[in-house]
Amino acid sequence: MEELAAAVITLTLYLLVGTIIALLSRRVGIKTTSDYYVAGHRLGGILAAISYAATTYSAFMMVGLVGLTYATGVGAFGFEITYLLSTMFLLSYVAPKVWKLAKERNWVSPAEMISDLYGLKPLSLIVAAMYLLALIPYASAQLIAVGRMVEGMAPGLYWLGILLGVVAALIWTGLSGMWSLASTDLYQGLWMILAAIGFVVWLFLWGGSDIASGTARMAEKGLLGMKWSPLVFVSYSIPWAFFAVTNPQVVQKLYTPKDERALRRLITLFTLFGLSYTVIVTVIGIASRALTEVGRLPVIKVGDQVTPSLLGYAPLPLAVFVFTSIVAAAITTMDAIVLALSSTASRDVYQHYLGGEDRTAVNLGRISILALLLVLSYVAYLKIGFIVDLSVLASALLLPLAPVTLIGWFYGRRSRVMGYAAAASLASGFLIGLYWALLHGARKSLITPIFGLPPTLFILLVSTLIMMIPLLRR
Amino acid sequence: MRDKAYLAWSLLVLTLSYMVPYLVLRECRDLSLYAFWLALTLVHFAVTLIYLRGDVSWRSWPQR
Repeated sequence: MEELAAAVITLTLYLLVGTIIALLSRRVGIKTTSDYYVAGHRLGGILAAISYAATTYSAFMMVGLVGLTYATGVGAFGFEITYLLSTMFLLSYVAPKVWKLAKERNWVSPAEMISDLYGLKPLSLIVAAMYLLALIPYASAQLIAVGRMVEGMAPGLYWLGILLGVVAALIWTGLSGMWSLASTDLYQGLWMILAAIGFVVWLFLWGGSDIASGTARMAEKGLLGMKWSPLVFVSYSIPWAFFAVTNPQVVQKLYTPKDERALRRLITLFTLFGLSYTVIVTVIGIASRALTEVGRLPVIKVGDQVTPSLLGYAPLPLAVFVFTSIVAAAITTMDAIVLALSSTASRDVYQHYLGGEDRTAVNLGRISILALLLVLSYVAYLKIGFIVDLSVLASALLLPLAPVTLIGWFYGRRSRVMGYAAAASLASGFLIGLYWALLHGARKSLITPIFGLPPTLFILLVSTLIMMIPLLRR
Repeated sequence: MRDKAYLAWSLLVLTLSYMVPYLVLRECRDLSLYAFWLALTLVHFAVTLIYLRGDVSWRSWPQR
């Protein structure tokens, strides 16, 4: 009962402060879709950086990655760090170009960017359809995570978690779009990193020398070496390596900084946040496994249960602080996805196809946020097993966007032939991923080779080859 | 030149992050694999900071 009361108080406080921040952000004034979806390209560096980080790092980190490290050892750190290495490069190398083009061409939605790069209007609809199919399960999985966290503290109240998540997302995203999203992301990002630091410090104080002796036993089992097979490592890490160019919720964030200085700050602060968070989370996973090896913790068979099990030993204030940080991680990711999807509805469909006015498009955007959240909550409420499985596939299904986006940024030149190649590349890659998932199941499809190659590498190669044909003919 | 050097460096870093764990540190029995990835990231971050601070790189995008 004491746990429940503490969780409710902390969660209420968290939601209240977030709502006050969102309400304060209304002062900026929203007149156009550019103001609403990309903060009129006027975000400061710190706000943009933490918002980017909070969007990127979902509940997967503190729940999934801790469990993955516990089960598979140091290889899980490599899986996550290849994402950071690649993103550091992609952001530093291409973000300045994207940011400049976004300002010049007034890009608001990433789907609009693709169709503009290739000068082919229907491309935005193909991209929008891909986003919807890939990201609705991913965003629903975040809501399911919120529901499960609340259910873990208060059995039977899964629905309340869904309701709280939806209301928070509606207020924090719907009020002022990117302004309220980024402001609440900053607050939630700080909550996430502070809770993670507190968690790891407590774990080492609690575990003491047992962690060192347990780590030595892990070495005997090969958990400090590379236990991941090359097939699994390549297949899992490739979609994440291109995450920064394939996922609309982070691509859109590149349009937001107010100047070059803010963009540089976005890249450096995001990297520092990402590195710290990744190290903390994987150290928690290794330390937990070490404690299991010496018998301080029971053997935990389900990876996602490692963090909840550990929190059972932590002091109550820390446990609820970490619990709320996981809710925050899920909500920040879901908010950004909903905003990105909504921008596609109001900008790509309503404005570009139906010729709608800017102010009406903003209101339509708010309505589409509500509609999307209703769909997500319904899907999450049903707790359909394959939704979580499909969410694993999201980044693989969006992988064909990597060559299309990168080639578009460098060679697009609004060529119609290139536009047709882009459409074929997107459709082929997406359909291969979907077909493989239907054939083998979502999870297994990622580790079942296609012609001897890791499936995600195969998808990437096919999409890239199709894009190369018109380039080679020039 | 600066951009090409950074591109080449980044590709080298990514290749190392995939190859070294399998070719050198697969069976390691201490935290050297963890330390390798961490050190690689820190060095890459330092190089990226230098690249980002260079004025030339941010203004040398080919004109469309």
